[in-house]
Amino acid sequence: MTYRAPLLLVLLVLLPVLLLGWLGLRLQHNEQQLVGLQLQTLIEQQLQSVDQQLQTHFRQLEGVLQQQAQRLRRQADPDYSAENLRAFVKGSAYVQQLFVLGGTDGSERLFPPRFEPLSLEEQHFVEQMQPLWQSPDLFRPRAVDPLAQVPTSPPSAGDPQRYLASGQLRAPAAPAELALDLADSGRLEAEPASSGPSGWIAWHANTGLMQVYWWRDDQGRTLGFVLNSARLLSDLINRLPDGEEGDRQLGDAEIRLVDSRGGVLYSWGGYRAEGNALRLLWLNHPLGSWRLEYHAPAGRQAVAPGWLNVAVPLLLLALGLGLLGYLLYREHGRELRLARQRVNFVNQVSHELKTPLTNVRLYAEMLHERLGDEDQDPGVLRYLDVITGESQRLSRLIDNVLSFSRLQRRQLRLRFESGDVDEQIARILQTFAPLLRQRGMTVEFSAGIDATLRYDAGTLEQILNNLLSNCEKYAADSGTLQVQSWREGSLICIRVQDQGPGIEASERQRIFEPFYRSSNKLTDGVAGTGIGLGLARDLARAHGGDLVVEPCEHGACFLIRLEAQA
Amino acid sequence: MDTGITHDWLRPFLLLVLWLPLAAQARDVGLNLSLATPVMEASSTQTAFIKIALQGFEQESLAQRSPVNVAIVLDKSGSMGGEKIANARDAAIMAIESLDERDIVSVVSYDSRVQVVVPATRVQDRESIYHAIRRLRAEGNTALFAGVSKGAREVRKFLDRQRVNRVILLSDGLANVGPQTPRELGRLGQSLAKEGISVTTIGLGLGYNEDLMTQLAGFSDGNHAFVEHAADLERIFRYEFGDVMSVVAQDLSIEIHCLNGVRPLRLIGREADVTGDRVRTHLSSLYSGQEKFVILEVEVPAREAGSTLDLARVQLDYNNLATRQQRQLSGLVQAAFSASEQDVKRAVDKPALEAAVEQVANEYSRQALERRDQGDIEGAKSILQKSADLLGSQADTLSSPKLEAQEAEALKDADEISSEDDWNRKRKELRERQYKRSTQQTY
Repeated sequence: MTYRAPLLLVLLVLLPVLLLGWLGLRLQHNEQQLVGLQLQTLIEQQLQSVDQQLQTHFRQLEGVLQQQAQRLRRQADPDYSAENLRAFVKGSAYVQQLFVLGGTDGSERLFPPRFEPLSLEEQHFVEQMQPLWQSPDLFRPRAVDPLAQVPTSPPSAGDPQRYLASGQLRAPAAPAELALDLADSGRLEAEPASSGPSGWIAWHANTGLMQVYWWRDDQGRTLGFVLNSARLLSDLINRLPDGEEGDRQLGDAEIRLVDSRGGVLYSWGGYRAEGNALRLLWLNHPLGSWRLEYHAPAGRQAVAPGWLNVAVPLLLLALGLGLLGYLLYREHGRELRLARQRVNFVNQVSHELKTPLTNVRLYAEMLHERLGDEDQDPGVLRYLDVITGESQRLSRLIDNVLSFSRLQRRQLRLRFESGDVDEQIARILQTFAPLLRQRGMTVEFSAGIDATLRYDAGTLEQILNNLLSNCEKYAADSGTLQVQSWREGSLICIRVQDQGPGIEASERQRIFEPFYRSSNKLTDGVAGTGIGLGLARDLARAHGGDLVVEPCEHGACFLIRLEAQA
Repeated sequence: MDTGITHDWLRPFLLLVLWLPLAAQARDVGLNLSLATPVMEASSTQTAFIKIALQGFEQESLAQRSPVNVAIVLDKSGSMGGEKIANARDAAIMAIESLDERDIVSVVSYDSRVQVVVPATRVQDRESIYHAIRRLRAEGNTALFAGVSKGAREVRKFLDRQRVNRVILLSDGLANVGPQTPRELGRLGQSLAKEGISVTTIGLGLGYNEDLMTQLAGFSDGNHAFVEHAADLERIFRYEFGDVMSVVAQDLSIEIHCLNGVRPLRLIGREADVTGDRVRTHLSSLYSGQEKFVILEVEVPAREAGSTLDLARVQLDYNNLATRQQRQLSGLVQAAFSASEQDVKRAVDKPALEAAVEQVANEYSRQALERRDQGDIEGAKSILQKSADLLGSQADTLSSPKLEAQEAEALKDADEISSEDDWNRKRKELRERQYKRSTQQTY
């Protein structure tokens, strides 16, 4: 009883806090997942855009090489002269070596010349490229050429003229990586872009990855430009952000360009620690064996501010609820104290009333006896009967109040004494007889115990008093009130049945609740405390028995059962 | 011309080099062709050394120098910490101090990241350039390749064949981010050279890879220096900028066409392209008053006494920075044949032979180093011994103090090459010396 209120209050505070906390965590978790996903997408996009930048380089390079190939073609008359080709290789910063394939099956070497002396470098080159030349399958345009597919190509690849004219090369955003060659080719008159098929081959020789751009002329001969791989890498690096720019773009993260052997070729961004990559992206052809790695501190989805976001409102809520709970608890305590004081007061008053009342009854009865001997005015005796009856009713009321408060305080003590139950019932009925008679009822008692048992006579009397006074109040003019007693083992059973209006089935449980008074025509205008039936049942239960309402045809029917001691 | 056809051996008719009238002009590069043995023994196949010398004309005044376009690429990796980076900063600032408004400078620094400290800019607002340089602090790894790449990009922004375009790289460590083999860096140098950018490499301390640094410089015909103590950086930067500001000719490409069955064997000390009877090589720049030369070894077929033979035709194309013109010079190398040993000896062109011997010995030194790298210390020693013998005998016959000094050097090298302790420094020294000798570096 005393713990229930604080427990309830604690629950009242804890439950919503826990619930909200849980919801908050769920929400945050979801949000984190969402942010994580967005981050992943962002990373993916970043890597893709790097790949695109690199692809742009290849597209521009392709444009330049195509023009140079066409220029070489125009100089050919009709055969390519070794002199011209060598001069080209000597002058080109991008091209390491050049080869021309021709003949009937397209794999016959035309340059470097087969029947003329070669320089050392050319000899080495021929040895290296021999396997490539013997695989004509490689010299086919790729079915799906990523170069042609990339959707966001600022200026079209095949038209370096326009690219140059648009002035983009001068813009700081697009550094002049290819300015030199473009300027060279700028001397050419504009002409329709690309003729024959062309493509890129990534060729792995023992010295590493080589990029070959091939172009087929109108006579079916294939020109192959083998790029200077160091220069290519240098140009690619120059397209990627450096120092502060990289820090600005990436913040606390790092992107690495990694070659096929896992060596880091270039890296940028503010993060510099070893560890596994958060994300990988393999580059498009012709850099297919290279990849981009994204590195960042693990779990960089900043958790701390999120926690704060949830914890602070929760804490405030808990504090608010706690305060509210504490106030309620204090209020409740005060109410409780006041109630207890009131009950005490009623108790005290009842006690104080009991003594004078007893005296009133005693002297009224004594007076009745004395006057009974002498033959007196019957009016006087009737007055005395009224005084006695009313004082009895008052003392029953006081007994009820005292028992009720004892029960409430669990201070009820049963006093078991030997006694004759039937006799006691008869005596009580007799006490009530005048009152009942006044109300137009007669009592019919069929005694069936006929034994001396150990039980608490006071309890039984109080129960019966309550039932009988209810009968008196609610079943006036109903005729016979039947009272029956019997034994069932050690149980004393007493049934009280009147012929009054009875109790509706729906009310049968509630009539026992303390301070409950069924409200209808019957009870209106009848005074009562509302504790009688409940008290009677509590007393019966305290005596090891019960008090129940039994269904019956007429009136109300109560069954009392009390456990007698052996 | 009166030549050996008159058989008049006693006269100093042995001028086998034809001077083109153009070469005589003051503001033009001189092309001097000479044969170490202008008179050769008759009736036997033999080898001969042709010296092709380019003489840079004197710059009239510093005010008339060509504008320069330089990227200084500084290593600021962790190993550069302390005094080194401080000296490098000071040296860079001091060097920029000598430039003026005509010039363009950029500064790139690299560790594991690359940073463009000063984007290519005219030298006008010096203080902000210096301020940016002074902020450099050392940390991180060595992304050398990317550093050179970005440096080259800065130079490329204002690339002009009439300017002296150069990347100056300072590194004290091994490249450990990105490409790191001498071959790859050499390839990059080669490509830059084709655009007219040369790379000077300065190795600081004992931690750098001298092969990588010399390859990178070699392919683009830049300078190379080994600086053991950071305090010397300022001096080296001063020399380097002195060179940069005294360039009188650029893009010198030499093509040698061997005639009459003469077979080219090798071009000593420089990268060259030998295709059949043609030899091509390329020099990036020629400095004021400087002589640069290449030595071509050829095999000459047997001839009868008294005859003369055109050995080779040499053509030089270059960009004259003083006149801002593309020029072409050419010349012919001739030899006479005699049965008399005395005639042959008397006719020897001493400066040409001296240069040839210097280069041959230098080549020996390279071979010795390779042997040493393979672990064959004795083999290396014997090669150096052979080199010293050659130098010794030629120093006597030519009475050349220069060769004598080189002989002493070779003997000293033979001595020190077996030492394990100091090999790292020794190797850097050797590489530097070989490089300077074969490119006739001015400092």
